[in-house]
Amino acid sequence: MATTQLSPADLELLIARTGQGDRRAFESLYKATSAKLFGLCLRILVRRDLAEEALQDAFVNIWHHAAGYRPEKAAVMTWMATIVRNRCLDLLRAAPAEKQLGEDQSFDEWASEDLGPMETAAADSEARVLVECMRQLAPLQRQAIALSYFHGLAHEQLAQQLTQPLGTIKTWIRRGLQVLKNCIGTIN
Amino acid sequence: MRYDNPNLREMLAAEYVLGTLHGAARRRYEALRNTRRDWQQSTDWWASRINLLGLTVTSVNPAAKVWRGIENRLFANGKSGFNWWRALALGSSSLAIALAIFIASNLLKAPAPPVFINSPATVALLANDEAKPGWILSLGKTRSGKTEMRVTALASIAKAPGKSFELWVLPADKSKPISLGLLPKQGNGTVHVADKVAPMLANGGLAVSLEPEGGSPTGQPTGAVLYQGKLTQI
Repeated sequence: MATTQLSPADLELLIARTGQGDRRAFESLYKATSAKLFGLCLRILVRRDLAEEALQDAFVNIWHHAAGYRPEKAAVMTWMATIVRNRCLDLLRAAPAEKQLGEDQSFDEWASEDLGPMETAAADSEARVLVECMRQLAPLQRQAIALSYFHGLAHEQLAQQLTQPLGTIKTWIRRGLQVLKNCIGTIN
Repeated sequence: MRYDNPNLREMLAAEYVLGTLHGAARRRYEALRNTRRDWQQSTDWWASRINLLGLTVTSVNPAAKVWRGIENRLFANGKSGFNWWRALALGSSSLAIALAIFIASNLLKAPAPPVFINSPATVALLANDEAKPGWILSLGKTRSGKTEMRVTALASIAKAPGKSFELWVLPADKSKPISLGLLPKQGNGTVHVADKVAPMLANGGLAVSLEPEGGSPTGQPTGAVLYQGKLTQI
């Protein structure tokens, strides 16, 4: 299904209609957002079958919870990404341990100096601002935050994964989040 | 008081949304968020920022079956106003059952994939008006407990370029047909059965309709019913 570019206002309208039980609006919402959200599922779960299952579950949830969407709290895409990520992390935790962190799942693209690919992928969305702010962090700080976001890793697991002392990880993350807060605050 | 420290609140909110708070710390955080407005607001602020990370991934178009699955799960019981099942004579053809038993007993000799448990074996043969078989179905459960049907298309199915064959369960209570998904035109395939629909298979009938490519646009059969059958335990 091809992705159609819709404005945030279009998406708000679609989600409002979906909340009223409009199936056609729901289908349009799916068409407009599923490619990005499926990309998110694949990034978290890697396995296509699991990613498909997660996307289905998430859209069933979106249908049921659309009426509770509050535009003042978050943009539609961000709200949907939250639901999708939660479902993916649930499935990830339920998967056998050896499948939880594949070799290509180090998220070291976030430790790279070049955040171009993420910036391109985030084009035309608020996420570009976030990528811009991530540039202000040290590479390993970015990687720790990405690992946490895409894998729901706690401090202890991050310390293990990045072979750093627990205290260091905690400080990194906290300082990183502080920088992000200040940065996003100035841009918004 | 410590919980009135806005910096602490902001950092814990950020860590909560990011997912680094686990166990008791997470539960303490949730209790505060649920009872204090300022903590709820900080959580919302961070949720709408941190989750932007999820949009930095590359888009990948999901297969069409994903949307069909969503539709089936949400709307399969929907009303279409088209009383379609009445048009069907659900007389179970004894020839079809005999054929199903014959073919299935051969099928069962093949080593079954270990993830698929189909014992006791429940099978169906979908045949057309002339008792010409189109598909063999074998009902079972995956290791995770989901109901599935393994489907094999037989060489004898009608040619239908640009069309899809859609499988329906006709509930025994004569309520509207429920889509089980599309059938392969050749080779093997899998039909995933929603938990809600699975119990209807035992007494319900099965039918195949000819639909536009990708399946019925309405959630109900729109084309001719070409094949029918019923699951039988052997």
